[in-house]
Amino acid sequence: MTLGALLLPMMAMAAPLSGTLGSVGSDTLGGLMTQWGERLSARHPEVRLQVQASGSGTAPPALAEGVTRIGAMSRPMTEAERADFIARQGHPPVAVPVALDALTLFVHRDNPLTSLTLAQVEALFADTRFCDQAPAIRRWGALGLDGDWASRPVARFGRNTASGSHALFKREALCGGNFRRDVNELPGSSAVVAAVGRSREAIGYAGLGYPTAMVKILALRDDQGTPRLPTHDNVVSGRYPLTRPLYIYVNLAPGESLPPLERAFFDLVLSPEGQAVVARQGFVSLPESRLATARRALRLPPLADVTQSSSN
Amino acid sequence: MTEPSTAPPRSNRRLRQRLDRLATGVIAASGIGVVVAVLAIGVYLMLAVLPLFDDAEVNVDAAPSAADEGAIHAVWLAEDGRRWLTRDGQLRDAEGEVATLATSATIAAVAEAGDRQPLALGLSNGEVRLVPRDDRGRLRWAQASTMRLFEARGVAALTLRHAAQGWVLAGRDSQGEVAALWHTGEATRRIAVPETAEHIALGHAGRLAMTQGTQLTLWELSPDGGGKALARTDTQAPTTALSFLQGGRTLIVGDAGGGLHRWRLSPDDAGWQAAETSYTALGDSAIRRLIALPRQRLWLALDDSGRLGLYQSLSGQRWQGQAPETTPPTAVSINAQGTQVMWLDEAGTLQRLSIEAPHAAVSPATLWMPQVYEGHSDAEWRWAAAVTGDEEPQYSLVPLAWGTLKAAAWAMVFAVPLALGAAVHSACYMSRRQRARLKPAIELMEALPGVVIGFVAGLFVAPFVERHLAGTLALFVCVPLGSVACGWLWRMLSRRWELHLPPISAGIGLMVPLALLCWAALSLSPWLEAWWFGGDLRAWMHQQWGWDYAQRNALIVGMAMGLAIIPTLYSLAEEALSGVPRPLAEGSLALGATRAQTLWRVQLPAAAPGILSAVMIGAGRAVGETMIVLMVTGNTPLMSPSLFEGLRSLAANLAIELPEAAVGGTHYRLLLLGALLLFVFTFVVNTLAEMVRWRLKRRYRRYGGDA
Repeated sequence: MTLGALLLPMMAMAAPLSGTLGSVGSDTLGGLMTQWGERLSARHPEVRLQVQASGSGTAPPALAEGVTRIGAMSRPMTEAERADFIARQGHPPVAVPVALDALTLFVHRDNPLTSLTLAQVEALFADTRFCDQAPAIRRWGALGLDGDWASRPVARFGRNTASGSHALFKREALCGGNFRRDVNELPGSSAVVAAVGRSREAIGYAGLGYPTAMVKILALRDDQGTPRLPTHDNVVSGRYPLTRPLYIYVNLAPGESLPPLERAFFDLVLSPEGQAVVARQGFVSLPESRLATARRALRLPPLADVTQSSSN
Repeated sequence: MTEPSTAPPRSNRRLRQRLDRLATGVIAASGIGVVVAVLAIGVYLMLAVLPLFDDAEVNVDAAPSAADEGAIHAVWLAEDGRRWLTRDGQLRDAEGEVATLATSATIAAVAEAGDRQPLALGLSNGEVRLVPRDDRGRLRWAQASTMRLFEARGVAALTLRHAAQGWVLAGRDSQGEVAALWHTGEATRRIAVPETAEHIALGHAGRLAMTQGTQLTLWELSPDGGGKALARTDTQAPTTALSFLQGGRTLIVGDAGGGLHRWRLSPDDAGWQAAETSYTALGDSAIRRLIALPRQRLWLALDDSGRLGLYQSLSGQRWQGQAPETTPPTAVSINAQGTQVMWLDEAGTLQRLSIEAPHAAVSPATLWMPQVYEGHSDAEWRWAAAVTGDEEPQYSLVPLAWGTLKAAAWAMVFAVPLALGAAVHSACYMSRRQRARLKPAIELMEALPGVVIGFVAGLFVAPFVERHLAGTLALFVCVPLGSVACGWLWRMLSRRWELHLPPISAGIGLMVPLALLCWAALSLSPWLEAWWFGGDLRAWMHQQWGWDYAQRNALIVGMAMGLAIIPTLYSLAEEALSGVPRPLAEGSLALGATRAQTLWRVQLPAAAPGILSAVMIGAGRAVGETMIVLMVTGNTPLMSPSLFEGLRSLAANLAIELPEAAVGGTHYRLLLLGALLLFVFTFVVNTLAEMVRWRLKRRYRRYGGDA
């Protein structure tokens, strides 16, 4: 093992890097992973990244079973998933934050609504009242819309249970309560956006990176009642209430360093070039200090001096 | 062809024989292989599902390792069982003392709330000592802080729970006086509770349950230092043990008569749910201790006679046995997975229980009967895969089975009349040549992949129907009536042409008026809607009948899946009808019956079993269909019969959730149980249908048919 760990980087230096890197996991991160894969192939022409993106829930089983070494997740692993991984692999997985995201709520572009409170979000989506005691909202009129909107029913769209967005929304916006049973569960963030864009009475939630011209993003009101849109500043500062980091989990035993392919991948992802992809995809790139911390945790060489001095 | 005059050479004959034997062997092997493969799938599913119904097991370590002298009077035990804290503040391990808590008082009570919250120690001088934890959950004994809970008397019992931005802790002194501390990160406030209690337990959000004799009181504590009584109830017998389960919304009460009861917080957290639930009792001795485990809402109960039971909040008693013959536990530890419980008793003996109940949340009752889940006020059937690891398991197969049957039923409503009508027409009314052209065309529809149908129906038809609901419903009325009317008109007008035109022209002739009719229905319906339904049919339906309209609903599934099963239905029904021996129909016509009479009285009754089997096979196909249901419904596990609401079928559920399920876990095995149900259903239906067809063929042969 040790010999291999020593030899591999040396071999990598000698010959150009080649091989296929597989990743299983989040659909929210799917677009990002594909873009990073393209860039990785540009840096190392012999390297391919194979992305399977069907939901964060698919990553932990694949990692635990050893099907993949990289799992993209839009939420942290649960205790049970962690315990499962440790039981099979003998060591905990390493969570690498790679981007910031916000769970956004959106409605059809014709809908006059502009903002919601968190209590209203629960009243719209939950069967339980674990955060607040607001009565259930079934008509748009209950959100203060008038005219013919007042009597229109609310159609709800969200992600399927494999998705990290679903789990995080449940934990953060519903305080761990239960979704209403009539929340349509669609496999994919863009499917949710498309469904909302096609139905005037719909409201849905998904990650940041999928807006289209057919939908309108809603602002959420913070504790003081100020509406906050999920803009770059509001997400980085955490003023937008439903903010989350996106992770890539790696199967990395303590004390070992990354195999060359993974190393090249993370070197790209946690670089200004990789983070520029994040911004272009509509997500929020990591602040420099967190970038440096993540690189240090993976024993990657520090970035340019500017980053290093700002993180120290 | 002429027969060869001479026999083939011998070598050639041997080769042919050998080839023949080889072919026989290969064919037999393939046939057996198919049967074996099908059986293997069934057996595999059975094997994967059976562990769900294994009995839970609690193994008591037979030879408990004796701890050292100092373990006597232990009040706290580490998760690994290797360290413990004694009443006089010594932290010890098997080698001896590790650290000492500097205090002159003794420790009378201990409370923990997982590896994120501090360890709270209640002292005999009325103080509480808090031992913080570091990032990795390790206790920092040297950094313990002290707070005062009671002025006059010592702490007799403590309970601790995570709360908004911190923790809340409640304690009882030796006289039954109750007080609490709420820590919010900035400040810690003391809350005096003017009640006396023998037992206390803290639930979520500062809900404090207290019992005194047969009285059960619920209080609400608040972070600003206030509190108020919410509810007072009487229990049947005096309470002897009390514990909230994981999540803090379910309270378990053990009483002096051995009774075990469940009290759930009402959905608004302001009281109890109306009905308390009683569990199977261990015996008639008083319950001594209740231990809530950190997973799956499991808990242990121990009574005065040493009986030990493992329970799950919904599925009830899972195991009962005898605790090791010891004095009562003084320090208990539970590992994070809830699979191992250790305790030290008054004699200092270490007991170890290993709990094997990975699927304890599943029982026939939780699968098939409605349950009152946490946060709900009524019993409901719910299916919701656990995603945060902390929620109550909601695994009822009823909504999925319902969704499956509902989708299949609406698909049949749509497909059966169309497919049977087409089959009757092409088998009994069309000429052989026309039939030879039409049949393959309809059967070609079967080659349409479900994904394509689902995609089109979900993305285009569903939004269209949502916008033009009245028009679509009008179509369902106009098209059948219109076809009948057109057919009748055609007969009236064209008696003279009939002899010259082939019957197929009737079909082609229908197309134009039908297209006109569709156009009329769609374009006139907005006026109809404005006239009769106040401009909005959906709002009108809601006002009149309380029906909600979901964009992804059973109507769309019925149409899309109906389209998918029409070819199967048509082809089998047509086969059954055209297989009816000619002499039967010809005899009937020769005796003067009309074509319709012959159809109703002779051909349909003769082919009825075949048609029935076609319908059954179509239903089997509809039940197992995955992609269409997955893409067209919103996958909402509802229990409504409404045509305008969504559903979630077993097959679609499998496709959605199987990739995320941890292999071997409860969720995974339940999904495979769904698969097994589907397998058994289609297997039985298809076998029955095949048997019916086989008997029918025999009957035809008797009548001299060639089928």
